[in-house]
Amino acid sequence: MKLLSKQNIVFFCIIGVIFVVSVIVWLVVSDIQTENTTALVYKNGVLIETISLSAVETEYEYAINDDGVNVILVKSGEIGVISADCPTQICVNTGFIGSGVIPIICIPNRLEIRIVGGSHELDAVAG
Amino acid sequence: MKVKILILAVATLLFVLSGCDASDSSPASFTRTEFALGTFVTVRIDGTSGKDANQALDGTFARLSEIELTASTKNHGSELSYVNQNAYERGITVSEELFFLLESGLFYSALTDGAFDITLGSVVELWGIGTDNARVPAPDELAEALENSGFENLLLSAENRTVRFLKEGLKIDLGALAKGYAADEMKRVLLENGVTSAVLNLGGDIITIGDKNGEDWLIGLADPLAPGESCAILRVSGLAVVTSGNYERYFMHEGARYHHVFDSQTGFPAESGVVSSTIITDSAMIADALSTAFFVMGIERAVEFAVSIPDTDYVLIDGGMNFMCSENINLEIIK
Repeated sequence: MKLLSKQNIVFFCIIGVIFVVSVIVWLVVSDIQTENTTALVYKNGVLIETISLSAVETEYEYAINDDGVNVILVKSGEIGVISADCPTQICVNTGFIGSGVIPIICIPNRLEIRIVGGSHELDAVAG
Repeated sequence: MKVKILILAVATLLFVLSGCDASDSSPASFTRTEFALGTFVTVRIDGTSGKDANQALDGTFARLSEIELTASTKNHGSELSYVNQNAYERGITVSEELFFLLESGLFYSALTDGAFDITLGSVVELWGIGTDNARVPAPDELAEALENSGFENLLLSAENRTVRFLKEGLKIDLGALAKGYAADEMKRVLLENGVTSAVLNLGGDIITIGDKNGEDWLIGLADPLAPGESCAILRVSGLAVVTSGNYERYFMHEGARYHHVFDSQTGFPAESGVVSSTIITDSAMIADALSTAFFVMGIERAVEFAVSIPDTDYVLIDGGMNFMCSENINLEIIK
């Protein structure tokens, strides 16, 4: 069996390094993409707030008090309506969302919270 | 030779790196959300330029506004509201669009033997589900509302496009038809604008155009027990997926849940054992009507009825989260 020359060893090492670097970069970028989860808050169909859930370190709440009241709690990676003055309370009962394409909807107060980014794979949810 | 291999390796590296940025490698995606027909409507268009997508979105949402002015019961200035107020006293001539909707509604009311019934407007109004006035009606009120309902009390004349009610208190509610019809019309406008890949979501009524970059669209089915989550995934291209569920709109009274899908026999929310009924077919309007009908019919009757409906698939879920599906459906149950 013929031994590899020094030149060949260096060559294959370069190929190996390129391969390893490619894999590492691919993994890192994929990870960044899946973690970049953003909540879009719509009122009357108009986007009023964009919240990067990935960047939230300390949870906070705030109220949207415009033609109906919805109190929203923002946590790291999650968002939910914790109280509302609507009669149905469906927005509150939906709970917290942080992935997927199921939005929080408050039809009486015309509020919608939708998640974009993250690692979900669905294009829409029927129901 | 080695130089060539090295060049190939570097090219591979560059290819891998370029593939890492999904936003660059994937076709552009444009999304717009507006509030219409009492719900949020979201349209996502893939694989076209921003200018073309925005033009298509303008056109399709303009069409939605037109339909809302025709068929909404929540808009007191709509054509349907006018008909509801006046069609008992005299025959009312209506637009081609409203006549088509009423004709279609009457057809599916009769076809499903009243499981889907567009004449339950008085019952819907009495319960007020989804409004500040939601309540359980008194028995005599409900009996009167039911007495004033019934699709046999709606007369349509195709000759002069007129609508006439045979009962004074009859009211048409197109809530289980108009959203689906709007989805079909919005899709038509997008196709006319050259859109080849899109997904439209009208408050959970879904219709798709083409596929997603060569793959099927992945449509989740809301979990009836946890509506913030999905319980199954459907793979579809170019089809509509519409679900009726007891979790969509409801109110609680003395520990009981009252939802918005009514049984025309009782005037109460339907309790057929089905908690989620999904129809998959070409037309969102047909899917809208049939999903309501299947919900009211219950599993046994719906499965039997489905045999007579061509090119239509269904997914029914009962309270124990048991699935009943048509045979050729591409469904993955994840719960």
